[in-house]
Amino acid sequence: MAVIKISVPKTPKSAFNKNRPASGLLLAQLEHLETASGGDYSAPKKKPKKPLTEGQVAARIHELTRSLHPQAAHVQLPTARMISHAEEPGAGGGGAAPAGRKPPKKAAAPKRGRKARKRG
Amino acid sequence: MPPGLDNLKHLVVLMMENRSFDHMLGGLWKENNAIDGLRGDESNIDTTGKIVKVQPKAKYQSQLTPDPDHDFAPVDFQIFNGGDVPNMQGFVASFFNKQRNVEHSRNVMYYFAPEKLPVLTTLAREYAVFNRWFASIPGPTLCNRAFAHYGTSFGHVGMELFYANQKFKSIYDRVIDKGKLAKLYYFDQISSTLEVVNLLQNQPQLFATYPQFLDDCKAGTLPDYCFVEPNYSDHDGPGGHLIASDQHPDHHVAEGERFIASIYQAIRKNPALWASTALLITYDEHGGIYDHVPPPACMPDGFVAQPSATKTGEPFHFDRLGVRVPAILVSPWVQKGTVVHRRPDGTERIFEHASIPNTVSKWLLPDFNDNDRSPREAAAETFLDLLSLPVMRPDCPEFTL
Repeated sequence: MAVIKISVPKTPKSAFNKNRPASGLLLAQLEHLETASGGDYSAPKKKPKKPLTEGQVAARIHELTRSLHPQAAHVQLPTARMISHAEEPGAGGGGAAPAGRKPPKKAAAPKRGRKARKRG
Repeated sequence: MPPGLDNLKHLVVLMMENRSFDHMLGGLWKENNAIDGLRGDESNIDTTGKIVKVQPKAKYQSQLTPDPDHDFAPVDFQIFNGGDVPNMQGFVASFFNKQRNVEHSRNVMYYFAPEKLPVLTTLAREYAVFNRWFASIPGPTLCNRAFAHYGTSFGHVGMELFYANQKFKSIYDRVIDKGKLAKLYYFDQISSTLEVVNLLQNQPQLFATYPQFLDDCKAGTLPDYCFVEPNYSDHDGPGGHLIASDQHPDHHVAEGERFIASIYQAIRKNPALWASTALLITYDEHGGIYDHVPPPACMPDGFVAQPSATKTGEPFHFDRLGVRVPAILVSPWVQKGTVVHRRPDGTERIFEHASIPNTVSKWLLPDFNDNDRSPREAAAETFLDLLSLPVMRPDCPEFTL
């Protein structure tokens, strides 16, 4: 029986915006991580003039998670390519060919084309 | 026992963020009337008194910003519209408060044309889609996610997450106590997990990341039960930009589609894993976006949230579910095109996030004592009976990413 294959469109690069204001969810996540890390965290009483951006919050979340979960510090980070090749061997980074890296180049074969012909 | 259940070795739950059933899957009613989606005449009244009907005009991004309110009190308003009857008439008025812009407030009624969500709609058509899967609380993310992990939020209706040393153990503790394996896979350390204080702080060994999930799928070493979290933030990774995949407004919905497909494909491409795994995809809550089905009453979980927490002037006894969310059960042992709605006697099958720990408990810990979990969880509907086919399907679709 034929298996249907469905192509999933790529997300446009313009979707990325780490400068958007962080959502309430991200701010709550940050607060919980600060608390879990043992810091004497309390939300600022005055609203900062500029709201924290998603990128700023993500950077702090990264620091806190590293301290709370050092076991994952040495695991390869995901890449966009990993999502595109989720089913391929080594896609997760534990296999022989870590995702996100190009395979080593083979020894260069003589080029075909004008330059190669000139040499010949 | 059906062969699908006999063969089941792994249950994977992927929980996305903040989209209602009608917003994501409501457009499927036109092709299959068994799916309780949108007929086209569902509406709210905007603040000028004009009728705003649902329309297939949802966009991937930039339409729901700032994101609709979804704390307890605004959701209560969305459902009851200030009255006593749950009529789902308060969504547009609630969203109006975000920008005080009438035109903008109508966006909350828009739903996706099915062709815009090829992954979610394909999975809904091909496997089992639930007509009655509700958020556990008419409230925000963290208390709802708590029901997936603990079968209760211990009386919380907000974003607090201080659940350590509580009355009931998490489903992960319960599974591990019985010598089985359980894990939470979050995306990466920059996105981190939303299941933090009680779990990441005290039990980091429960956690791993998305690359490990891919490796575990490839090696066939998934735990008995696992929970997967998407990427919650746009951030830079080693290979360039990583776009948030949680579908929380205003994150791009298409990246969530890709993430769902990647989880599916990672399981699908390992034949032994595919034959022995069920994948549940659901959303934590509706995110303030319109759905037409009033949430039903439910078994109270024994806790009470005080008026100071609900901010409605009334206590909440956890006796009503939140707004309906998408939920799909994927397995080659599920009949193609299943729509889960009623029992043979005509009564409705109503699911919520407490259905997750109850299903895991019934499957992996059949002797688990009901006194050691919330009454809500013990009464929640389970879903593994849907693995009912006598033979595995050979025609399950694949996605090309």
